[in-house]
Amino acid sequence: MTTLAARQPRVVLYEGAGAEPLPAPERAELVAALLDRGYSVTLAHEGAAPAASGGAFVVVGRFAGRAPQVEAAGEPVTVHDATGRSAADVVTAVEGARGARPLNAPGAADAWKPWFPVIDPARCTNCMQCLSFCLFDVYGVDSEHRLRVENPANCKVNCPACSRVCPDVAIIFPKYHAGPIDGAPVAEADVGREKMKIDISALLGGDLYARLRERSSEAKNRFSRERSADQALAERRRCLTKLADAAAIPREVLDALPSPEEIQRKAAVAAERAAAALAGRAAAGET
Amino acid sequence: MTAPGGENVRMLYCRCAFARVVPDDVKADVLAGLAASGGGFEAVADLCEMAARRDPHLADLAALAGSGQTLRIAACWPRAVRGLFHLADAPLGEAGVEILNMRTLPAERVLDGMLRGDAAAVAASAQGRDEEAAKQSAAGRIAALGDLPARTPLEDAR
Ligand code: SF4
Ligand code: SF4
Repeated sequence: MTTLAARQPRVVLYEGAGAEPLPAPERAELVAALLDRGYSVTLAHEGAAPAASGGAFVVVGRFAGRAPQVEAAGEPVTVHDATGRSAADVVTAVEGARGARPLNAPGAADAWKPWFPVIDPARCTNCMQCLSFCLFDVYGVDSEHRLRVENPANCKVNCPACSRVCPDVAIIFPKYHAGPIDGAPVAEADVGREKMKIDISALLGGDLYARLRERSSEAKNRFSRERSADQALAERRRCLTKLADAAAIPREVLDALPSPEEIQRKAAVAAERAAAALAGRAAAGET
Repeated sequence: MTAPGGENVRMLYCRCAFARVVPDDVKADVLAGLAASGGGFEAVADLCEMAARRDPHLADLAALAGSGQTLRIAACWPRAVRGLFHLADAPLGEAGVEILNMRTLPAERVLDGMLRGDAAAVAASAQGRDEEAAKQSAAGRIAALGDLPARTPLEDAR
């Protein structure tokens, strides 16, 4: 499971009193370089002295050798004088000042790609279909029994399958390539189309994961007969292609599915959580 | 952190650094315009990533919009952006929030909306893709590559 740090490291680029403003193109270049490394940036013009709050750990500015005191509550803050430094130099200095603070850096080999479902609260009816569908504990409920995306980092990158089971087209994957899953407006035709997707999965056996389970155990049986992991895997792939196409599930996700027994256990737990949430809502008079 | 146009405006720019769903040229031109505006702003590497960690900075920003200031956000589809703030336990109110869609609007329109406020650009940000405009702009870009031959090879083959 990926664990995310609470705050993204933030840099303050200070151009207020006592600091010489950067020329606009250099300012844009520096901000872009920091963002592309994964930092947040506040461009601040106000105040006699730069203030650092909310996760900022370094203040950068052209102070001409007279780096100011920084007002900061809590964590220590480094002040970096960027006078005469290129954007690349400043990024290197910021990296040094970051120390052991965790950073999810875009493009890094071990980076977590932020891919997860986002709920449109204006459309969600809390039917809990997504909660009972997901095997990876992405969904949960809040104290008022409303659906909540509890563990975004558990989601399987590039898999938008749960958006297909939502009857109200309330599940968005902002980094998806097409609407309405990417957050584009939902047309009436989209609602119909998504309903059709559910019908497809019903045709395939009612419950997509029940079908996956069945296919997996077929492959497992074959595996024990043939004693060939490669053949069993190839068979599993072949059988699942149709399902993957119907729900746009990437092949890697299917390959990464746990054992049939584990799938069964997880599906039962997810269904129980969904039923408990619905019962909680009914008891509270919510529908 | 105020926009040049007004004391009560805060601007937030999303770099969408983990994906290529926002056109690179739009992202670059919007950032260049903000940097040249003379105003302060907030910039985040990836709003999605921040929302996933429920970064408290998002709650600070949402609170601004609820305190009589206007928060202008250059990112992507408003439905996605609102959903992300909601996921981060920092829901955005209806009033005081203007979202500009860098996935669909040209950089100049986004910048106009960010720096001067443009209700039409905000409304257009929430509307579906204008396929005709997209086609025309693609045709314009192709034409800008140079004079196209009068006949395409495909036509010659017919
Ligand atoms: S399936 Fe859709 S409507 Fe139902 S709880 Fe999930 S997001 Fe909400
Ligand atoms: S909010 Fe939109 S623009 Fe920003 S990172 Fe997410 S998908 Fe990209």
